This record gives sequence, C-alpha cells and structure tokens, in this order.
Amino acid sequence: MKRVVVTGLGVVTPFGFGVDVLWDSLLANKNGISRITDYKVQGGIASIAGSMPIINDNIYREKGSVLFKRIPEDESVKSFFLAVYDALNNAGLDLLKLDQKDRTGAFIADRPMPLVEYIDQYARLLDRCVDENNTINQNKFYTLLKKIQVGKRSFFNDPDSINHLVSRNYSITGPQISSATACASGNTAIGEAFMKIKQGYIDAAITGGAYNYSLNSLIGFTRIAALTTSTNPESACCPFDEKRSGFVMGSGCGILIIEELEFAKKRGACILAEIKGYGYSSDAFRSTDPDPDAKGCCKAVRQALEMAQLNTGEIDYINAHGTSTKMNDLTETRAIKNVFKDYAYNIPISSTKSMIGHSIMAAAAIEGIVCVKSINNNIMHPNRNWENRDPELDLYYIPDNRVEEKKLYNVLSNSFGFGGQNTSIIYSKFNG
Amino acid sequence: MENKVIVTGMGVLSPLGIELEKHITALKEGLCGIRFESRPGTDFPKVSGTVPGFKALDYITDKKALKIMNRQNILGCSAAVLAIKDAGLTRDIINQSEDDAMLFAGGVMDSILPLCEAVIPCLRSNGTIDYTKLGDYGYRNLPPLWILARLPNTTSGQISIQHTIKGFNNTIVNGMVSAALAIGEGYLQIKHGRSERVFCGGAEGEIYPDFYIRNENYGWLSGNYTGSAAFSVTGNGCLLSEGGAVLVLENEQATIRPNAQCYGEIIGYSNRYIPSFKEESWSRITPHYEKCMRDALDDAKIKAENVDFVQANGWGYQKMDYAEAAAIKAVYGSKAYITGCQPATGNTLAGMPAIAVCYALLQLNYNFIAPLIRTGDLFFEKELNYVKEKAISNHNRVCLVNSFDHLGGACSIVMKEGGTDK
Repeated sequence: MKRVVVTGLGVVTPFGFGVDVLWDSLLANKNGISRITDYKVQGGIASIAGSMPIINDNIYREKGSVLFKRIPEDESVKSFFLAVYDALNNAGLDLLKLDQKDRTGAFIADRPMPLVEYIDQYARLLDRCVDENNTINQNKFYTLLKKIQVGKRSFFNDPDSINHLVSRNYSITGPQISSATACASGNTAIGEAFMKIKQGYIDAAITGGAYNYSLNSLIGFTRIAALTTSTNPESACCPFDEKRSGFVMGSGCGILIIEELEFAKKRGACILAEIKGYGYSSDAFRSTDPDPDAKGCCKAVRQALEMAQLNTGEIDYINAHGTSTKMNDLTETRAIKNVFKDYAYNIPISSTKSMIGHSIMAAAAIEGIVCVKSINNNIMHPNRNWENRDPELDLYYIPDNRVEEKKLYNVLSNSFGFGGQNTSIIYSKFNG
Repeated sequence: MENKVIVTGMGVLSPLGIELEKHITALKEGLCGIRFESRPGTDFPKVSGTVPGFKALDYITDKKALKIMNRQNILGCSAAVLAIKDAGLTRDIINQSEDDAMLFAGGVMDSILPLCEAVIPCLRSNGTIDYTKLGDYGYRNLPPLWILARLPNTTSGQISIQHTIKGFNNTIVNGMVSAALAIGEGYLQIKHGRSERVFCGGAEGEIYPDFYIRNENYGWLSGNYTGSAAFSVTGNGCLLSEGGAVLVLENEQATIRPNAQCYGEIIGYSNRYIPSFKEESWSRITPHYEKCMRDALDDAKIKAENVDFVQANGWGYQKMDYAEAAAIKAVYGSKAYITGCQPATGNTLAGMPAIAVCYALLQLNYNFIAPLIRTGDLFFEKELNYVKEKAISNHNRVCLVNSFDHLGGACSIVMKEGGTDK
C-alpha cells in the first residue's frame, strides 16, 4: 500500500480567501457568522449564516488568466475555483505539465447550485400557472416557460460540478467522483481520493468540498428545526456548550492536494502532513437523528485508528464535527468517550464550525485544512462561545478565546452526516 | 490478494416492467416502454416512460418513511427491496454484517417546483415574491421533513436504514454516469477487501418542466416519439423516463448462503473524464471513449476479441453516438455485437447505467442479445455488428457496458458469465 501526503491547501471561508486568513482568524477567535444579506429571507427563516465572502477583484486579477479559462460567471463557483488554484499553487503542482493526465483525479464534494436560485425570475410566470388546487399546472408552466426563455439561459443554472470545471481547466482525464454524504461529504471525498492513491490507481488528487447555502437549504433546514433559533450572530453557534440550540448554515470551499509519497518526493514537493487513516460507517438508524448510542461514529473512529496503526493514546487533538446541535454534540462526545476511554479526557477538542458555521459539503475539507495547519504549527484553535458546561458533555473542549499549544503528531477529524453517514480521517505529522 | 466480485441479486424498475421475467421478455421481443404522455394543449411530455403497475406500498411498508420520500427515493428504495429479495438476503442476514456497503447515484433532477407550495401564497400581482410573507408563513406550508427529499443522500440513507446496511455509504453525484461509478466503485470495494457485500445502483423519478427545458436547450433531448434512436445518423436526442436499479455485489468467497445465485462476475472498470467534451468535434471524442473501454478491458485482463457484446450507451444524441460507434469500431472491429436499451426504456438519467448493467447481466445469463429498436441508418453500419430489431441467441461469456454523459463523464464496466443456477 502506498503512503499518501498532503502537499497543498486552498480555502475560501466566510473570513475571506486564503489559508492564512482562515488560520489567523481561528486563532484570534473571530466570528465569521453574520446577518444574511445576500438573500431576501425574513420572518422565521434563518437570518444568520457564515456566508461566502466578497472577494476583491484584485485577488482575481492577481491569479492570472489561467484561472478563468473555462469558469462560469457564478460568483460562488469563481471563488471555489480560487481555492483550487491556490491549493495547486501551494503544492507547486502544474497539472498542465504532467505527462500522465489520467493519473490525477478530481474528488471534490459539491453539487451545482439548484434551479431555485432563479426563483425570482420564475415568479412572474408562476402566478399564471396556479390552478384551482393552488398548485402549479405543469403543462401550463412548461408552455409559458418555453415561450419566455427561448434563446435565453438566464433562467437556468449550469449543471456542471466544480469537479467538471477543474478537470476541464487543467485537462485532467483521470477519475472523477463527486461525493454527497451530506455533512460528511468533504471527508468522504478526501477519504476516497486517499484510497485511490493508496491502492495505486492515481498519483495525485484534487480533493475537498465546496458549498454555498441556497434558498432550499435555508428554508429546508429551518423547517426541520435543525438550525439554531438564535438570531444573534455573535453567540448563536456554540458547539458543546450547554446553551447550544442548533447549527448555523455556512459556506465555503476547502481544497487539499494529496499525492502518493514517492510521486511528491520526486517532484520536490513540500510535504505538509500525511493522511494515515480513514474510517466510515452508516448508522442505519434514522434519517433525522444520529444513533444516540453512537455505534456508527465509534466504528468510523476505530477504523481510522486501525488503518493508521495508531493506539488511542496517540491522538493528540480532535477537530470535532461539533455542529452545535443538541444531539450531534452529545453523540460525538459519547463516541469519543467510548473509543478513547479515560484518555478521552486528555484530548483537546475544538470545532471550527464555532466560528464559520456549518458549510455542509465543504465543512470536513475546511476542517481537514485546519488539522494540517494545527499539526504544522502545534497550535489548536478555541471553541468560540464555549462557556457553559453541559453536564453530559464532560470532555476537554478548548474554551472560548483560548489557544492551546502542544506538539501535535496525530490529529483526528470527525464528520458525521445527516442520514447517518459517519467519517473520520487521521492527519499526521510527516515523518519521512 | 484481490477478491472475486459476483452479482448475486438485482432489482430493476423501468418502463419495461418490474419483475425480471418481464424485463427478459421485453428485451427478447424488442418491446418499447416509452409512452408519450403529453396532455391536451401542451407538448410537455412530463415523462416518456413510467414503470408500469408500480405501487410504492408493495415495496415500502413503512408509511412514515414513504411520506418523506420523493419519486427518486421511492424507486431507489423499491429497487433495493427487489434486489435484496432476489439475492436471497434478509434484514437479519444483513444485520449480522458490520461492513456491508451502499453506493448509490444521486438523482440529477432539479426544479423550482418542489418549493412552490411555499412560494405560491406569497406571489404578488406584479410577478414578484413577497419575502416577508414567505418568511412569516409561506415556508410553513412545506412539510417539516421537506428538506430530506432534497438531500442527495436520502435514498442511500433510507436503503441503509430499512435494511440495516452499516458499512461505507456514499452517494455519487457525477451526473448521468453516477450509477456506473457506484457499481464500479462497489466492485473495487469488494475487490480490495473493504467490504464483503455492496448494494449499488441508481434511480431517477419525476421529470419537471424546467429541468426538461434546460436540457432541451442543451440539445440532447428529443422532442418527439421518433427520438431515442441509438446510433442513428438522424438521431435527434433521447426521451426521458423514470426508473432505477440496484445490484447486490458480493465477494464470491463469502457467498455461502444455500440460495445464493450468480448472475455474473464484474472483472473490469474504468472511470475517465473528457475535459474538452463540450468543445470537441465528434471524431475527437472517439479516442477518449476508446481509451475508456481499453482501460476497463486491461483492468479485466481481457482481450477485446473475447468480448461477445457491448451494452452501448447509445443515447440517440449524435455527437456521443458517433463517437461511441467509432470507438467500438476501433476496439472490436465488427467482432462484438452491439446492443443498447435506451431506445426501449428511454433515458432514466441517474438510473440509466444501473439498468443497463442489469440488462447486460440478464443477456449474459440467458444467452441472448437484445436488439436495438427504431433502427434506421446507423453510424458505420456496414462495419459494425449491430443487433437490430430482433434478438439473437448467443453463448455470451463476456460483455462490456458503456456509460457516457454530456458533461464529459465516461465509464466502462466489464463482466463475465458466472456459475449460474438458472
């Protein structure tokens, strides 16, 4: 089996563009959650989120013409692509110069923006299609839409995913897989890319996750009562805190360039960390809730440890899934206690979501980047807003506004998805 | 050590039917399941093929679960019920395993209509949306669990919940090749020892007008019943249908049930991307398809001359069909028979590759090759071995299934006959 290393990082978060911007903000305990201004949502629908940042035009200009050879005008996709570009740049990997373009794969978790983003354009014809049952007459809708939109693309999104765009831009012909395991998607994408390299199918992968919340997700997650009802962007997201009341929507893109060790060495790449373990499981329990016994979460963590050939006592830090929902944080705590036993109380735990919200498909990828930065700097960021201990959650969550320093060798990144999909990845200090 | 991956069960829901016998008969007789269902006063076909006689409650007994599902979820879960039963598995048997995996294709359907229940009461007479009303009460018109049917992983999650599948779980959202990737990746899971058993496939449900029009704009949908003529030099696109399929893959060594059967063995898989698909001319797509098939054959350690038939992608979209026909000519010459099911079933989008793999297995197993229907002038007709209009009998040993899409995805799967008890 091959060894797999991380050689490049690129990220866009509510804090802005760039790994250093994210890292400095996390260490400074900043808040990336704010009032939503890019949607006209009101009333009972979530009004706060970690939104995509406005990227300065100069940043795009600096990145040169190669960046937007084939990228659509959609602002979020453009900024996702900025993360891809930055990760490749960071890795010093020029994909266009690779001899074997089918030995590189694209494994980024994402989905194209839904059509519902164009709802305002549709509004003027929807009214004319409502039938006596107060539903849309699809035949009328079809006929009217066809008449109105002929020759126009303004009603429609592009069906391409970021993987398509990346592969096109860099002429990659290798395997491409977009994973969608809800909140665990980023880890699934990284884990599957890791397995492809480990098993010798490819030499390198562009992997991670990208997500921008949509009207569907804001409304849908509000309706299902998964989001916090707090409207205070400063304190709404408080993973593991007694007052936690639900997650805060987030958005962003995290990209990791991962390579087979010898391939990376041969081209003189700077190795940032090694991926040693990957674990996964399905709760097979319920669509809306995690298994309270946390059996699936435990299995994912144990599997990752086993693959990494590490003992529980060798994990130095856990970057938790930590969504700030009642059930997730409780279940994750139980899982950590079940797997790590007494040692669980010695492991510093923090949730990146405490500062940027939950960017669903991008979350685990951004958190993977945070793990690599933590290993490189031997520093762990705080849990913003962790102030009140929940009696049931008795582990060591790094408190609000406190940065912990410690030699970090092995770091665990957990991500658990809505629907019961559990994933864990272990990032380790590279030891050549 | 690499494990041998066999297919021990399948469940298929397509416009050709539900029970496997129905599919076999339809394939042998060259039947067409497409019904052009336009309504008076419009030409919106809604769906060109529906699953005949399908009743969700026959397969999903949990009425509560059914309530949260959309048509894609329902068809996927129902196909899983059929496949699991066909494989001779039960919930208890699956529950004993900790590492059974689930890989499913996320549906590609997209529409504004599911949100309309919330939006309609908030429409102003000037054709704008009153967002205050939407936030105050409009969104409450949606059922509380409305978001679940919008999440791509709900079908795979539901299948796992209903059957206690506790291992790896992934939903692949690569567009219309997704189910082929789900099957291919499932094959690798077992081959490399990550799982002993994998449930994999894909499904697609209701076709919405806005999705339909967007894709009419892209030029790969046919506007009339004569469409979906695979490999035709006058092909004008495909017709859309609903449907889906689930396969049960198992490590042959671990299949010790007395009633276990084997439809065939998966022996090769390739997953490639064509970066310049949109810009390239027809002929420049050909080498990519050729490489995709050759990679799968290499993985299978099989020579092209040993392939009995190609279950072609055959969309009825000229650019892709020309390139596929030319690639088949380059790889097999006139040796391999060419068949395809899209003209008979319509294009079931994310469900299509899984249905095609199941149909290829049925042909492999029952020693026939189904005909392409609606054949007129075909690309390279004199140089290729198309099976036209009438099925043929053939002792099939090896077949290759292609799945290509209009976004540049390309995947091939190679299968060989297994020790069937049928």
